[in-house]
Amino acid sequence: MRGLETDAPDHPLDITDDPGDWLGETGWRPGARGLWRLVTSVFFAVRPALGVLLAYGLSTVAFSSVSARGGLLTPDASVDPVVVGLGLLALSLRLTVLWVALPIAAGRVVAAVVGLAANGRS
Amino acid sequence: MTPSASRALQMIAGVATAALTLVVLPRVWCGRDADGWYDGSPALERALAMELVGFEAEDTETRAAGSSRYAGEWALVTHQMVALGLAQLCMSHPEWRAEFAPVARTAALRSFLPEMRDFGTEAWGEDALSPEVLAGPHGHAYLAYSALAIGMSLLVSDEPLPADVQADYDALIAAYIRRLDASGTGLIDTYPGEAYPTDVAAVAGSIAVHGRVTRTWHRATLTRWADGVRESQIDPGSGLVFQRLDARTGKAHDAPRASGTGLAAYFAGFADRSISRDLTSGILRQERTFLGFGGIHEYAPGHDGPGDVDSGPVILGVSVSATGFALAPFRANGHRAQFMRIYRTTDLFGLPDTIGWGDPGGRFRFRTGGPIGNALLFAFLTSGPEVAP
Repeated sequence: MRGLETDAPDHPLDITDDPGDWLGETGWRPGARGLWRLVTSVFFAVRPALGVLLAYGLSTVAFSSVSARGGLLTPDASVDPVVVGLGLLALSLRLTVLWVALPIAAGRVVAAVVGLAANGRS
Repeated sequence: MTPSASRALQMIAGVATAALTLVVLPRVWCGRDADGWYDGSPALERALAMELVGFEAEDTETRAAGSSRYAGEWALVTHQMVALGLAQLCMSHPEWRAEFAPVARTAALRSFLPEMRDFGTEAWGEDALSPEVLAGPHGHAYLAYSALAIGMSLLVSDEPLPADVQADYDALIAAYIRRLDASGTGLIDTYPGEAYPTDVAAVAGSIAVHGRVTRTWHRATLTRWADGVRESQIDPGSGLVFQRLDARTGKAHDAPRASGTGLAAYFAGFADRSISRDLTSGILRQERTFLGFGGIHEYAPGHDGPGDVDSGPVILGVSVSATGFALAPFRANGHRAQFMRIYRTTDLFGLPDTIGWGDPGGRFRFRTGGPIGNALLFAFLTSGPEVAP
């Protein structure tokens, strides 16, 4: 977040700076800076999961629109490859979201928060 | 804190959180409606009912337009299960009776149409409801599915059946009673020489419900059937029924299997609560669990085989059909924890459509189920009020 201006024109905020001396001079509120770092860290931690979630949502919508009431199989028990393909894709992505993407995202969020807290104390 | 210590702490915290999320999140997310279904949430039940009421309305329009009709074995089961589910809802929510009983009646009548039983007519080379067949010994047990639906719709509807349907229904039940009484094994055949305990349980259920409608209880016949189930249809080792037997000798033609047992437990409940409980005990032993999810193993210990039209796909030994069928006896016989686990699996693979279902008139459906899957789940998820006292 280089270039994010503070109340002190000569001291552009650089999150790579070690917090300390300049805070008193700039009038920047320490809580806001920490909050911003937290938000960006969380965003970058969950970004890969958001992609999988988006793919899951789109595949589910696509499956719903082509299958209507039909489900995976047509009422006469025949198979439409497009319907079955989209259905299986949506199911696979659902499993991926629940057992891979979201657990990893949660772990990354906690790791990022722990990292921020540890760095803040050092 | 040193940078390496900080990194180690981050890694430990991250891995622990990921592991915890992996264990907790899927079971919580997929189980979010499980309590509601088990406890009979009116919002959930009504929303799935509305989806199937919509299906029946569309079917009416399609038939009126003379375009392609939904017919055959799957259609028979779909209409039957819609009728059973709606009748069960009318029993548990009498205030919905005026709205749902007519649709239950329509669905039941549709399951009784000649084109629905074409598969049986073809297998036997004769129509189950022709007078000479009704007077004869051939089992035609598959038609008990429709008879059960007709009976349940009569229990909740004040409108009489069309005279010809009423006559066919009464004659079919009388034929079933006579055939069961004449059977040395407690079995009657579905197809020539082949008997399925599941279908015979539907026969018993249809006789019992006819008894409730007409107040003629058919106790001797039903007791004989129940004795036959315990003596020759249940495998003592597993508690499961043999999937298929010789109708005349009672010799097993297939393994003891959970898909047949699950559906038999549901149908048996209409006739005899204790038989339903016995069969449920067998299914309970077949449950396999993983991280709060449950599935029902298809084959009894010591047996193995592929999936088929009864079991659906069998994945790592777990049957899709048996897993879904288990919802009904688990709910009706009070196995909450097992119901919850099986429901989570149903939710996971059913892709439930939760958007807007809570709206007035909103619908709820399992996206992968289609009409037959949603109709089956509707009947199983609302099972309980139909069980014989």
